[in-house]
Amino acid sequence: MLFHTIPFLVLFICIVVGFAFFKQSNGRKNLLLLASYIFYGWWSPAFVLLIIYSTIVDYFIGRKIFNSSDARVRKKWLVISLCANLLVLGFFKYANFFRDSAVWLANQFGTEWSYSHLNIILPVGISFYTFQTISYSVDIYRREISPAKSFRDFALFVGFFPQLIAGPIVRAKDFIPQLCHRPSLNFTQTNVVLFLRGLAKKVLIAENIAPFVDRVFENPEAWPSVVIWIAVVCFAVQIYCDFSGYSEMAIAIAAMLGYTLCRNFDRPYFSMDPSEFWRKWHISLSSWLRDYLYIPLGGNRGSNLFIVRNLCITMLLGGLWHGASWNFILWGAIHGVILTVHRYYSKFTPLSDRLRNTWIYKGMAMILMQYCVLVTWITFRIESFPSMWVALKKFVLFDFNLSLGGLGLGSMQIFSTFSFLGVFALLHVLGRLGVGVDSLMLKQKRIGFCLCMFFIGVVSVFFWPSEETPFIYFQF
Amino acid sequence: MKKSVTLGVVFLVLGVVSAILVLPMITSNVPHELRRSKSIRTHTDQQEMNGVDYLFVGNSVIMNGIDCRHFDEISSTVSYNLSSTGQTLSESIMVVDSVGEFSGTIVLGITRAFLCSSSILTPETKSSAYAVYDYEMSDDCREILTKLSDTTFLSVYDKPSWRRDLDSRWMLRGAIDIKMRQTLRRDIDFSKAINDLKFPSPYSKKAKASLVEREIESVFGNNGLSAIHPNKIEAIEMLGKMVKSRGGKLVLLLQPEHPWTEKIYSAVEEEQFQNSVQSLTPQNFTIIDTTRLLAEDQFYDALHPSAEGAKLLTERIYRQLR
Repeated sequence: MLFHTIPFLVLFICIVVGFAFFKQSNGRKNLLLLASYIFYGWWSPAFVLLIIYSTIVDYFIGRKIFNSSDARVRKKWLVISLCANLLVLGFFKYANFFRDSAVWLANQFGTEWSYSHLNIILPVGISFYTFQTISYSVDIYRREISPAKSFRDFALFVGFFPQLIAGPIVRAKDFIPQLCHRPSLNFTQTNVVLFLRGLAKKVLIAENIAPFVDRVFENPEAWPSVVIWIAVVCFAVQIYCDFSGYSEMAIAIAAMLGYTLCRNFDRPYFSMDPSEFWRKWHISLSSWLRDYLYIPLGGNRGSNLFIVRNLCITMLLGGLWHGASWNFILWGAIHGVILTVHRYYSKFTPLSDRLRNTWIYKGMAMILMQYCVLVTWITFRIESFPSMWVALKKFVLFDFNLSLGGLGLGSMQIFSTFSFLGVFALLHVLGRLGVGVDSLMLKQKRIGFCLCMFFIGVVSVFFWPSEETPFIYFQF
Repeated sequence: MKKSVTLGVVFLVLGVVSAILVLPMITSNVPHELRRSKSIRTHTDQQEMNGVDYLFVGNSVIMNGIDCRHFDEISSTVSYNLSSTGQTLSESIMVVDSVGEFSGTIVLGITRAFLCSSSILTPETKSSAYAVYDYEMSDDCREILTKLSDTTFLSVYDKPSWRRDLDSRWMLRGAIDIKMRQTLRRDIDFSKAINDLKFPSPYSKKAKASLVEREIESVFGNNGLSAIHPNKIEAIEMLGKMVKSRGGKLVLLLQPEHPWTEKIYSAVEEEQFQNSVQSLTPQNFTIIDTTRLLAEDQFYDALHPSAEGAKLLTERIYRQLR
């Protein structure tokens, strides 16, 4: 069930109506929990049991950790919680990957293992809610939070439908205290505009750009460098709009129900260095990796080699989190290298702060950083290594074949794709300058606001894509 | 604040409803690469077809290859070129169906790829354009498309009309593409390509040899086009029967191919295809084979006959038909 579909609209209306009947906090929270399980079960009813399993395990282990004063016992329970969560995640997401990789490796040494691929369906959102429950157990262990007051509250923290499928990854210390208050409807202009902004990004921009991107990356060997460049830029916009759009819709819906979720993106394509990029891209994941992986590994403490190790492990596992495939690990590894290089460049370069604050320096830094990001998107998008290599070569070693004749022009909707790209670029820059469409809308008087909404309704119908493109981050 | 939000949502819904209501009007009139299909439809009513002796249908090879003005001159008859870019066999059948009762001859241009592949689905966007442009699908036509397994076309026509209207919104996006294409491709006379029902010939630019080679490799290479698929022949027989029942005759024209395609097909494949053609014993149509009619300098590119090629092709067809 996606946020921009009729079944979700019906579910949401039922929640709104239900709030009218259930005035008490408990009743409303029960309703939200039921709606969350319906939301998740819409995709596959059986996997609701998996969420319930994670919820039960971590709720009771959380209490065990909290109630024990013996550090060894607390650690033991934490390890049990981590194993229980990671084993489930490992089985559903990585079993075939590890098996295939092991067999491939063994066969390089002359063995002839044969095997049948396990038919495992990946439960949607498992990476997201598993990380949430892990953070809950760890935060209790660190004495940063107390356990949730009730099983229902904890279940709602784990399964709250706006962020269940694709984040933002919510921390218990941010969300559980909000459950002390009665959920209430909060339909403000800000929330409605935020939802529409997310919807426009995901549906009108990302899904309309997707066909061109898919066509080129289906067979990168067939296209000249200029087309590969265009496709990579389009993919960068597609994945950003797809994911940030969905996050914004999630945040808006949660806000409409009275809950605050953390921001997940902060215009990462204006970043000037990799640290800034990772502070602005998928913020909930990068901060999770920082707090639960990088810092426990040692963080910035220790020798240079030790820090590099920590960075690389964190980014490699961050890549692996995205998908059970070597291209994602490569993507993470490249980001690890970029972060490492930047770290030592910043430390040892003699450039003054005055120079670093000039527009030229900032512009060049931004261009260089985004070039690196585009290169990594190639590894992220193309799973096959031979095709990836071809695309990387064409991207980095420009062939100066500027012929677009092979595109057949009209047949690939290239001009309309450019139009969507152009609209996105314009609105994105305006947003950065503080004069985005959404902020302008919110400043309007009632009639202006209504006319903007009318216009959005018209544009949505006219440019709603004919075919639905799967949400990219659902596969994670 | 609440009132603003409520009013805003109301206006949003109004915007959506308004857009849905005006969409059919807009999409049937926006410039689009499939506008030729609309142009053809407006001319295939009964009055226009009175006194017409020959109709040519098929893809852009026919658009560039059949000069109906020249045909009319040499044959002293009246003919129309109702082909369009990328016209699939299903689309040709829809065009023929839209003509209705017709006592003349319909020449159906077809490529080897269409004949030899198991099924070719018409893209949903094209199928929906036919619905937007008021092409109706008779029971006979539906039967033939079912034989061709063109489920996309059939599914579009199975939808309720409001849904088809809504699905036609992709044409707005297509309008952006065609407008830009018109700006960049000055070698193509789009107005002629859309409106000329005698000799649309949209392609007039001679392509470089290297590009022709690449195009031939990509279009004809690795297709295994050697044996005619029985489904296709059965469907064309059904079409021939339909045309006969309406008073006309059907001729199947095997379209000219660039001579360099001989390098693509193996000798075995070529022989197999020729044997396939020879062994056909059609009951409801006749065959004209022009596959190897034209020389390489009688093509503008890998697919489309030049003006000289069109003249040659038109005259050959006239001689075979008379």
